[in-house]
Amino acid sequence: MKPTPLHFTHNGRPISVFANSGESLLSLLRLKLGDQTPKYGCGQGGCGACSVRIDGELRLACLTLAETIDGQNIETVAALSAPELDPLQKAFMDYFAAQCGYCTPGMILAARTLLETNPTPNRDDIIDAISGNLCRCTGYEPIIDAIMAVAQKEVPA
Amino acid sequence: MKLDFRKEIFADERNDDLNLVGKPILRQDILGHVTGTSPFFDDHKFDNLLHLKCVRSPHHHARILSIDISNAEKMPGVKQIILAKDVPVNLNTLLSLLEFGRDDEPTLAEKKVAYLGEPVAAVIATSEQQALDAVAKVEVRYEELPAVFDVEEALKPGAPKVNEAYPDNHFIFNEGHSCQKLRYGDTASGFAQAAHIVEGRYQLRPIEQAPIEPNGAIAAPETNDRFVCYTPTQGLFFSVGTCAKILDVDLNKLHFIGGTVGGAFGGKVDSVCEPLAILGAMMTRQPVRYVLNRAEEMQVSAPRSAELWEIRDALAEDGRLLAREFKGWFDAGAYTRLTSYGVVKCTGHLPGPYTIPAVKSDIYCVFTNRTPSTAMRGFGVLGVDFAIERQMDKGARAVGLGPLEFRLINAYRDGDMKVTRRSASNTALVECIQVAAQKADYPLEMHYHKMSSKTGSTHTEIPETVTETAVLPAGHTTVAKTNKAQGLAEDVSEQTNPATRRPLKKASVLEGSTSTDRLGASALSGRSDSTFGDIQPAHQTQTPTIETQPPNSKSRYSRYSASIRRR
Amino acid sequence: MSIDISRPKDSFTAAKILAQDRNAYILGGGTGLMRRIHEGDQNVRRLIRIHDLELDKITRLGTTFSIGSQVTMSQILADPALQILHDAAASVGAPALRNMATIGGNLFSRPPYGDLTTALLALEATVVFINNNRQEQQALETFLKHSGPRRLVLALEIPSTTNKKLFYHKMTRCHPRGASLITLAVAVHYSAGRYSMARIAFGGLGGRPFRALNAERALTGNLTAASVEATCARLKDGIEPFSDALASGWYRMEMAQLHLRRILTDLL
Repeated sequence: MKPTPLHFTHNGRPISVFANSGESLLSLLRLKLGDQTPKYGCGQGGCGACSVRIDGELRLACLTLAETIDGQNIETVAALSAPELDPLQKAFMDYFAAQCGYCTPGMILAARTLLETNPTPNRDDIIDAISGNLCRCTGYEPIIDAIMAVAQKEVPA
Repeated sequence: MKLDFRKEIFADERNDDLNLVGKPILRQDILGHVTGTSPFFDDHKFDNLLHLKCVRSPHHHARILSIDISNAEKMPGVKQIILAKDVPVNLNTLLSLLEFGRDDEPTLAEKKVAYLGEPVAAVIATSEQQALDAVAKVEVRYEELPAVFDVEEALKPGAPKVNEAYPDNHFIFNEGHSCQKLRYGDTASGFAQAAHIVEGRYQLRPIEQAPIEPNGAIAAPETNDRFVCYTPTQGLFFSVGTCAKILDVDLNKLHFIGGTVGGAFGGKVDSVCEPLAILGAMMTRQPVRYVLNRAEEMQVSAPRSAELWEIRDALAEDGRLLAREFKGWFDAGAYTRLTSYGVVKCTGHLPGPYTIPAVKSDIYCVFTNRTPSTAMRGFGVLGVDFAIERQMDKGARAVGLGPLEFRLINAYRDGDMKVTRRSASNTALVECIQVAAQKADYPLEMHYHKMSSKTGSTHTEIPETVTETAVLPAGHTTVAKTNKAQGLAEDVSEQTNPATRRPLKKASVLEGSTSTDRLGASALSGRSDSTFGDIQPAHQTQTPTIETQPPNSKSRYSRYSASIRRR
Repeated sequence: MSIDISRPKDSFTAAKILAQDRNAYILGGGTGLMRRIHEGDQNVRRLIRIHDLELDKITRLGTTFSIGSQVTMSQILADPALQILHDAAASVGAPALRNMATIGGNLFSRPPYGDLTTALLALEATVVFINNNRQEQQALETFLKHSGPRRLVLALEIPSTTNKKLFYHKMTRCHPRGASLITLAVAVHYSAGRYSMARIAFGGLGGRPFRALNAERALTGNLTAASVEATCARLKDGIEPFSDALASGWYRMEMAQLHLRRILTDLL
């Protein structure tokens, strides 16, 4: 089958690229665009390591057929890192919320999405928001602490 | 979550002038982690990258009658199909690097398969999808064989023979023994005097490490017939050595790049993906990527061994342990991998952090048709520790003591003799229990609070030891040079009684060493409260020997290992 | 390459492709199909994209809700009028997955998935679909029993939820989320302080979610402690739950009876 031409924005940059038929968005981002921040963890939608945002909505790139994103805005954690680090990234550093680092991009995107819709989450809200992101290293508590710390600072006094 | 340091304990042993240890320093790679830029092995772009996927056995145990790749070869995008005959040295065991054990595992199965998912062929194609489609077209004819999944069943006469190198379904320790043995003191005498005997049988299932990043490797040709390999391995030198042997190349032909590991927990030591990725790069002269998908990671990659334990304790009326006997079975699965070492490591860990004047242990490394098992957190010791602590709870109930009191009575003190024929030093279990009791609001009577690791040793001399064949006199320090491998056991005839505590100071304790055991073994064990730890620098003073080629190695790799020993 | 993609311009064309090609599948959220492709499932050779066909709408027809087959779990959760389905929709996967998973895809998911379908069964949903070039309707319960013909699902219709309550429980080993061991949905009519017309649906006890009709029959009339016991006992009739790595069939049946008893006892 012929590849499909796609036009979309990737972290604000316009992109024109071909998607092979059956190719996942994860493969397109990593192999064709060189954005290796979303990661392969399971290919089943269970681990969240491939999390991206499509038109602002949190999605799983490993389960997204690449050609379906024509005309959409794709955001990965690379968008949050510049020009300055996102407060979540700073908090994850301060709270030791990353050990191997593999789940971290997905966690940060999930947390950023939560705070945009619910700036005053409680602990249960945070747990629900990251319930699609598996971490095998930290035991989750430092991650929840980091997100909570950002939530509390971001609430106007 | 604040850490509670309790620095007042053993304060006189510590200047507390360390600059980094104990301080909340930012990880050097945390900025990379939070920006997603830490380079994992798969975060490398290559032009003309090829993808490798394996044809795997659908049976637990079967003879391979034929492999037909003619249809698969014609599939679109297929560049190479690797079979057993293409692997230069297609029989290995990981610890052959330390000359421990017989080569027993093929990289690609040739005559039979011994576990579900064992790789039989490797297909390399232009995309992962194409490789998978071609894998589906490889036709393998099998003749199913009876399979065994239980360690006790595997050791019964007439059980299916799982591993061709070990016809009785168990690893051979110390040149002829069916298990790793430990004998210390006279347990029969302890049981004869016991006021209480407590028995228990315990099991641990296999546990998959399940790192979020799966196992894999990317290899590519470099100049001068050299190959680069990006890998998540936990032991870089270990992987290089394994690949050099399997691929029959000199070490300097391999350029391994590791670093960021997306979780491993013991599951990225076995170096299963690297050899095939590099061989693929050798055969296609293109970069080759081989990554396990999650289903393969769960089913095929090596988990922690299942274990079975029987423990028998002899207790005095006052709660002291007089003797402890262990019988253990580690389920290695179809091939040895690291389980042989796990058994030895476990043996050095016995009988737990308690002073017991008589200990006996037999631990088997058993082959079954389960997935080959390997290291995982607390490698070799987690299972027995669970069993030991359950035994301690039962023992406490038998003598009418609380669980903490019972442990305090039996805990090591400085100067107590351990089964490894070394005196315990820098012990701290007593203080740990006291602090835990306080934090848990567990009321301990005053005399327990007054206990200290520094005083109260009750068993300071090596006792007379009864074995099946001899009685070793009291004070006998030399244990047989076991398992013919450097570093796994050594002549302990030098000093065994440092009764004083060693202070924590900045001077380095280990002078530099190039012995292979440190290179190989150090990456494998996440040491918990292991008392097997201090490797004395005595090796460096031993007269070097030039060994003849070990019987199992056919490759030029063995010449290299001989030259290592000469240093 | 090995996967073909079709983008039919209308539902009838999509349905025709589906019927004629045994290796073609409708792409919903991709949560099931993309995984199968990634793992090399040779049965998936064509994906039929229907995102352009306006099947992602929630509409009211009188007191009936019509939920397009491409409607996602998140869309259901965002609609207060579909409150009765919120427990079930929220139990599917996790936030990112709920943004992708569709009710059409959920309909055809095998255990341990298919949780929303269990709730829809208890609510006596109707399936609107295309078969043999004709648009048809069928009770969901009947639809799920026939797996032969390949039909394109357009929408699920839920009859009036006035005076209806849905009690939903998904049993998992890990919280807050995990694969389902069993899923149970009990829909009751509530009027003047009394519950009646219970509809009981289970997922995870068989290959597809089903209505426990024997158990429902034992509940006719008033709800009493005795009728609750009888209902739970009747659950075993003709049902042999499967065993797999998650749980044994015996355990599934024990849990099914336990949770059904709890839900019904709370209503007494």
